Amino acid sequence: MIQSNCLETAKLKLLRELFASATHDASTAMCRWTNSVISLTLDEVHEMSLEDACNDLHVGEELLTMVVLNLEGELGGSMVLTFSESDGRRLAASLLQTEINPGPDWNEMEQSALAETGNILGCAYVNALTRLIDQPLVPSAPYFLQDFGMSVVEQALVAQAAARDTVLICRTCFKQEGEELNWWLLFVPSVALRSAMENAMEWPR
Amino acid sequence: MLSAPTLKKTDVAVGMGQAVLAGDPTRLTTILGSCVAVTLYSPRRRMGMLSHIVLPQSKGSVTSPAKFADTAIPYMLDSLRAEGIEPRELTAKVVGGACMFGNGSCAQIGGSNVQAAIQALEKAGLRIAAHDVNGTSGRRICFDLANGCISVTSAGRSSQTI
Repeated sequence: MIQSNCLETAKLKLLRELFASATHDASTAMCRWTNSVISLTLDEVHEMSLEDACNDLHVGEELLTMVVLNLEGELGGSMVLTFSESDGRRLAASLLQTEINPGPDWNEMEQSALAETGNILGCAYVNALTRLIDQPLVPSAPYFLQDFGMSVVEQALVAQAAARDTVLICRTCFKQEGEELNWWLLFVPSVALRSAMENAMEWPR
Repeated sequence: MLSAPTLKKTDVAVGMGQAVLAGDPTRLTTILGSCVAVTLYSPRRRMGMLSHIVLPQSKGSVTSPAKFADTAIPYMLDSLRAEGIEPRELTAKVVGGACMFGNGSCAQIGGSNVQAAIQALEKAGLRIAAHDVNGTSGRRICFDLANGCISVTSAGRSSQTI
């Protein structure tokens, strides 16, 4: 049976604090990895209906470049790092210290550079979650894909929608030396992981 | 020689868990990952309906009939009957149900959605005229109510019409 109970405000506040701390760690790791000043801002930790989530995320209809990490095992979830085509190309060129590839194909090195970026960011969030729930989380190898952003977000959200009326999402935005980048990182926990996170936050009741 | 006047096409987006009934000159559009779009079309009336199905089974939920395969088909038939369209004049098409995240926990949802949609259509006695299902890529679709054709665009694949 589908559950309709929503997270309390106090729990959402705690989750925001947790993800804000993870975002700080991820910012530090990204600066080290890219050798430039890339800062991450926690854009939102929201609980909303599936329909609202799809509308509010403004993913658009374009083909996007993405790196996906799944959390494997009982406590699953998905992390999706998304770039516009041009920002993804720019990052890959910067990491590989090469000229920007005009495309349309992505070579193995470029894909690997973006996948590693997803891995570094994903691990910062996984570490924060592990501290919260005190249980191990196993991220999959990151993989690169190009697809409609909405299709990927839809699949990430469906796992929660199977058991709940609402979905919990966390979105992070990126800036490079103050200028907003066309990247974002979306984290969607599975139902089991969401329950584990909620149980770990029982104390503020 | 003057060409016949044509009506301007209007595109209407159908979100997750929604169903939209419309007629020519509307085109219904949506983007699918593991979700499935079921279209029903009446050539006589040049009207039809698209449901963006998210999950296979409603498990007792009654709030969003178009969200689940088992409730979406009866809901669509009821809506079309209210417009004077009988099931015998409808053609059905099924699109979507991709598995985009490899072997993750949600890998089976796409396949289950396709199976449940086909079962629900068969249970209602509707013939499936065409389908484009499963695979590992998302799809952008456009259902043209002038002729019932669906154009399907996938990443890395040329568009096709079913």
